[in-house]
Amino acid sequence: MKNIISLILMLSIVISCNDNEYLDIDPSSLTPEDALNIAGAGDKMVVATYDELQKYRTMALPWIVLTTVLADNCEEGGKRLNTDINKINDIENISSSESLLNTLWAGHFFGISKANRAIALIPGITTLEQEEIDVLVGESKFLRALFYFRLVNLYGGVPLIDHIIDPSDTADKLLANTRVSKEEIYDFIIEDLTEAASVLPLKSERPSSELGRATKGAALGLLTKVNMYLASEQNSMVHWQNVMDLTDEIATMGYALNYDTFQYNNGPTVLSSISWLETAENNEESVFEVQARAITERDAIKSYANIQNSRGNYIGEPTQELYDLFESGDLRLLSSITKKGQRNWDASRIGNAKKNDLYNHKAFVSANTDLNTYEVHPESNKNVRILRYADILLMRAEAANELGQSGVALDILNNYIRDRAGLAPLPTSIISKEDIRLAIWKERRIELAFEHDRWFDIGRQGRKGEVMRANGKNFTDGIHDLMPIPLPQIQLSGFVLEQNPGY
Amino acid sequence: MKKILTLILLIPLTFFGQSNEVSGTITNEAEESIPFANVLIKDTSNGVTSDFDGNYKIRVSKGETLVFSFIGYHTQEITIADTNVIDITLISSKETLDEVVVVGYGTTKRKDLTGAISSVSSEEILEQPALSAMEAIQGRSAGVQIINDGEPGGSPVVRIRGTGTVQSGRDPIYVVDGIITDNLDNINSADIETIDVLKDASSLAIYGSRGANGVIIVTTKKAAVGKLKIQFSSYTGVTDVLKKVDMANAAQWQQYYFEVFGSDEDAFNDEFGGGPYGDYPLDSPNDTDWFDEITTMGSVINHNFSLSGGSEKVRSFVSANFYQEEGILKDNDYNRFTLRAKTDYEITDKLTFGHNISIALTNRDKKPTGAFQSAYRQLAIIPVRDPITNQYGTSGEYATVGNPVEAIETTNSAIKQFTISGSAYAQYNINNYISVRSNFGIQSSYLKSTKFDGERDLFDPNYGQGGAGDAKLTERRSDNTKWTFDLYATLKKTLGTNHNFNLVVGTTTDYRTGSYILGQINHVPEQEQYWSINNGESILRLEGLNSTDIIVRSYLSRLNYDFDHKYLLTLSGRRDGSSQFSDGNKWGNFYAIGAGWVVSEENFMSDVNFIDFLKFRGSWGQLGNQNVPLQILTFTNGLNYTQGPNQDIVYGSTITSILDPNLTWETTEEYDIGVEFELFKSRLSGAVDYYNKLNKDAALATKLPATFGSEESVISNLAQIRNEGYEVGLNWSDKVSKSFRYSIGANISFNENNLESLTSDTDVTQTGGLIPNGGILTKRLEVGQPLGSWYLHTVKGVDPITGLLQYEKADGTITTDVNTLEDEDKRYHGSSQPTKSFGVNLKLNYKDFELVVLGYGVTGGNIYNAKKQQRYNGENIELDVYNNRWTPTNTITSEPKPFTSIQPASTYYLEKSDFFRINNITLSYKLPKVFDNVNLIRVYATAKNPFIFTNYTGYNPELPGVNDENTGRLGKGDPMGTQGMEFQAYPSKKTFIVGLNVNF
Repeated sequence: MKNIISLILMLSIVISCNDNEYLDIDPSSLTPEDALNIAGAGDKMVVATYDELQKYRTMALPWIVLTTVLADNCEEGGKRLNTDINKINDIENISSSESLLNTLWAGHFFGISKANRAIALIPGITTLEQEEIDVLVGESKFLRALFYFRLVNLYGGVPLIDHIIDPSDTADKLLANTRVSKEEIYDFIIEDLTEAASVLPLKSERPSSELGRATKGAALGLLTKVNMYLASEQNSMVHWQNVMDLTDEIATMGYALNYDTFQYNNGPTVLSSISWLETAENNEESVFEVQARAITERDAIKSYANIQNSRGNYIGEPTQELYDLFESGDLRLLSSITKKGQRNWDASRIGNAKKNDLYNHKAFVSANTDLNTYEVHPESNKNVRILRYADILLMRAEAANELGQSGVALDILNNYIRDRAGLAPLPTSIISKEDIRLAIWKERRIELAFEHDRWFDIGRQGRKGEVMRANGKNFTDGIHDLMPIPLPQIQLSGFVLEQNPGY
Repeated sequence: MKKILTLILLIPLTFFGQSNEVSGTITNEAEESIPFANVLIKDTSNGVTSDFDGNYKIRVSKGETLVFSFIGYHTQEITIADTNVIDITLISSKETLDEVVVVGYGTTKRKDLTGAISSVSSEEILEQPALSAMEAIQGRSAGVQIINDGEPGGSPVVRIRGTGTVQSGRDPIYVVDGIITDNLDNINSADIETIDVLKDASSLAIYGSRGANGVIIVTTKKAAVGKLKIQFSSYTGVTDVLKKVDMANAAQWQQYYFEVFGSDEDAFNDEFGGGPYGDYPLDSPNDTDWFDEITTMGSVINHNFSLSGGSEKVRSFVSANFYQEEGILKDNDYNRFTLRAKTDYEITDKLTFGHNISIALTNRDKKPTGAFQSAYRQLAIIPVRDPITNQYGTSGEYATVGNPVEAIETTNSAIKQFTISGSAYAQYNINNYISVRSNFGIQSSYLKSTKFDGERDLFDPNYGQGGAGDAKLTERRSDNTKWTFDLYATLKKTLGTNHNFNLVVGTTTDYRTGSYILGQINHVPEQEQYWSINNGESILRLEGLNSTDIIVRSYLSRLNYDFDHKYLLTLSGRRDGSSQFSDGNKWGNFYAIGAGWVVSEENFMSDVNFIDFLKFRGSWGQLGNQNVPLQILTFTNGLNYTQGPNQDIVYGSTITSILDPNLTWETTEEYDIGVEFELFKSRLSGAVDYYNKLNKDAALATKLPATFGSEESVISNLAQIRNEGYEVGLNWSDKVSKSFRYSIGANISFNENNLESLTSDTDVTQTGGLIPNGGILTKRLEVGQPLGSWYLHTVKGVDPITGLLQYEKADGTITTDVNTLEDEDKRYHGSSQPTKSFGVNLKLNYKDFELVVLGYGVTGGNIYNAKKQQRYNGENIELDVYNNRWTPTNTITSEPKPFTSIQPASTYYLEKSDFFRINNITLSYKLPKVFDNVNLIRVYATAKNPFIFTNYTGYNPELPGVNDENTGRLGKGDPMGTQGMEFQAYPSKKTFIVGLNVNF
């Protein structure tokens, strides 16, 4: 018996000796340490950051509602009443518990976090050449700047996160829950974009396999917009001059307006670039666009087009006021807006039974396979245009006007923007700085309709209240200029994160 | 050996005069012979045992009394008169105290137990025809709550003493012949000898970090020494809906919506537009009963065959089973084949060896149960197929509902599973009191799931708008393998005369791994024979993963001590190490102590005649739950982008989560106080238990501010969850006369579930009970409330003046304007977990007839009629909603004025889940012995679930929840998931069965 017990004990000891080693299992998914040693890890982290731009939370319904529906170009529209969208459309009832606000906030910070991770880890990847590292980090900084630019214009100052933060670190925790000033965010964006521009290749230098990735032009284009916003808000000639200088530089990079039109059967004639046709993606006018192809359900910009177009849920109904603003003969009208009972560019007719009168045509996706670059899919292949050369030209025109070079401004308006739209030059009566400024603002509104520009544009022009009240909204200056910080985020911060005034 | 002994003992008998030889056969109630039963002359040590065929022969004097006994049967005494032939039928008794209970790494006698263990016998399992033994034993034992799933092949949700955790594994573990498995779905119920449910810490601590949710030990049948036994049983039956919900017909639906949009047809048409879908104008003659269109009469068939027998050296049991069920949802079928072979060898006196192999093959044709929901909501005015175009009818602009018939006909999902389990053991008895046993088992299962979605219009019948697409094939293959190795020694010794010791010391190792691969491809031809990935084009998804292996190494020991079977003590402990956790958190120790006092053994009780047995017992211990999410930080793949002139996919991955490095298993502390008794000559037996179980560190997800960039919640040990309750089980059985016996059993369990506290400075608000399409949340986790509490607006009737629902605000005021409602106005309204569940069973035997009635019920839970809330435009309404709706002339009612649009989550949709159901009525008859070789022919008829008594207005008050295959959300059995929500639940069914048993 003694023998037996000692036998069992011995057995146990033999087994237990290597217990801890025995319980060490190699995980079957890549750990961060291993993942970084795999070829292409750097690129993958950057791709994952781009992927944020394809997410529903960042680019679809929340973004559409909080830019397009919120501004004066659209009312809520839609197949059926959505109280959340209704509240945002009405502005006065916007509350911080609105889930779309929270979704959008989270998406953007997830994007920033992915960029931070890429920026922090890529320089340590030994298999990469310094030049490759620079470009990848440059792209991440461009994307980080883009996320911050959108956040700061929507919410004002937000927490500034520039590294991978750890919830168990007190300093990081404070950082995550503390808003910095709008100016600090702007400085950060400018720094990121400047660095990105200094390392990113030109669009023409990018191999075609990288078409769609950020370029030097994209970084400078966004920087131009940042400068224009600062120039308007601070009435700063320095910044207007920056806009001139930056657009000078961009002008050398081979961008141009695209004049292609498209007409099919008895459908309307549209400008391919304005109508965001798939066939006009990444053309010479494209400075930066979110690439979309619905080949996998996961990677398409979830329902971006479907949310807005007449075949889908048609959320965001263009206002009659916008419709009427188009001059007669403006090719951009039918490229941008369709009416109930009329035809889309693929000649399909919008049924009379639909609830909207007007529809966003830029978001239209044809069910006719022959007219699309890729397969028809409920989730569209349509790229979302972030920055077109037309926008760059309009920014240049505005800067020129502000700097007293009205000739440059009128040249852009008449010989580029209006010319492409099939319109005659502006009446010669428009010569004063103020008149030209208003003419530019109007062209911006028409040219960039539904391209998520309007809400921020009237903001930097300092006339959100004026415009929105004219649009029939009960807009209160000093409150509704900024969206409320999402309540769930304030709760998660333990009420450390501060709310905007008035909410 | 024993025979020789009795022979020697018998010799002196021959010297006594006046003795005559008595002989006979000992059988059981099934008229099967009982070999090796004991026959003893009372108050002497003289006796014999029966032979292989149950025959005995003994010399005995007139006036003496013979005592017939065998383990598992009531002892019988017969006083010798003049007869020389005495045939005895021993009556089995499950409550017999000498009954052996399996306790994990050993057995013990029920009377010596210090813990709470419920046992269910083979006979009881087979009384309720069901796929899974767990489904069959619903209502059989106190403290074991079983929520059945009506879908063919659906596995029930089992909770022992309440739901102990939120996000970790909540299911008990199943130990089948020593091998741990996840459920009993692949085990033939007829193979099961006993099910022992371990409920308290004293019994469970030997399972350490596996024990917190309870352990269900299944022992399969084993051949006995004796002649070859062949058993054949078969039943077949038909299934129909037990409870249907009447819907409004086309005319009523129109009237209802006329009242919504003003009373004329123009207003109605304005709202719904007629539109491009206006194929079914209001004067369409259609009046479709959608529920009838998707349902059919179901059926069930079961054939079972077993063969057993053997010598003292080799005993073998073989069984084969075929089970087939056709659901009430059209083409929703399930079938299963199982085989088992089990052999035990007695190699020497000291060495025994055995092996046990079982195979199960299941085929499941699934259909989207969402069809029940669309059938509920689809309009009667829409035809199944358009009479002219023959296209599926769509609700068009009237409503946002798919065509349920289309959903069933275009979704083809088949799941085939092959499971093989094998185990072998060897036991060596070193001497009379020490034995060593080793057990090694492997279980492997392979699953192939194929889903074909036919080409669809823009309007998807399952997902509404946006689900259009080409024909799509999804194929998933997965495999899971685990093995267990046990080695333990048992020391059983009595010191002195009365100090009985039983010590178990051992180690066990458990390993599991798995993998899957999934492919999804477009453009696969419609014909079933072409459903292969190779026949498609353009891959939509291709993924696969070898899961990270999990190894658990454990050391265990248990000491049972009793003094004269009067004072009982159990000490048990287990040390577990799991590879799942980070260094420093891998190892944990679990201990328990149990004590008992058998009062009836005390001398002072010898005069109390009506008490046959009385025991008080108590236990305390710690249990673990290691089934918390794996803690390894990995790169998240699939964050892809497109680039290049052809917009090709480029693959992206990064880290999108943050982990808590301190996460470890949950520890539950439980104490239990119980009393067990047998009274009135063991006619009344029962047990009463009080338990209190506190999960001290339940894992819970906490959210971080988005600025941290963690897309998933961080899981930490934060919550304290208590389950407290009583269990009462009583059984009365009596033999009125030789030909009439009866027994009545009843049990009731009370359980209170409560989230005691949360230890976190970050936000841990958990909402759940999501109703998609509308994003409505119905549940919330809150300290002081049960898990999965309903968090809803309170409806205080219908305003007689406006006909609108009256909501109560936080300040107590009443409003009918839903736009003024805030989250703060919501209140808690209980949970779907019942506070009481009870079962009754009745058994009458008269001559060769037997009647069994089983009933089961629950009270104290609330369930949410979620399907009723899924209304956006002109979806159909229930007939009751229509009939009782508020109108200017019917102002005092509970149903509001006709409305469209989705309403906030409120108590308007909340109903009591209370129900009592007759689970089974079986009448059987044993044919007289007609053939020599046939021992038994029994025929029976069963009505399964023939009646239900409930006020619930839906299809089924028993709602385990549904795993959503589209989102991958695991709602089943999840208190924060779809448990308790009738959304796309399978309606309750009744089944009428006839069956036959033949034993050779």
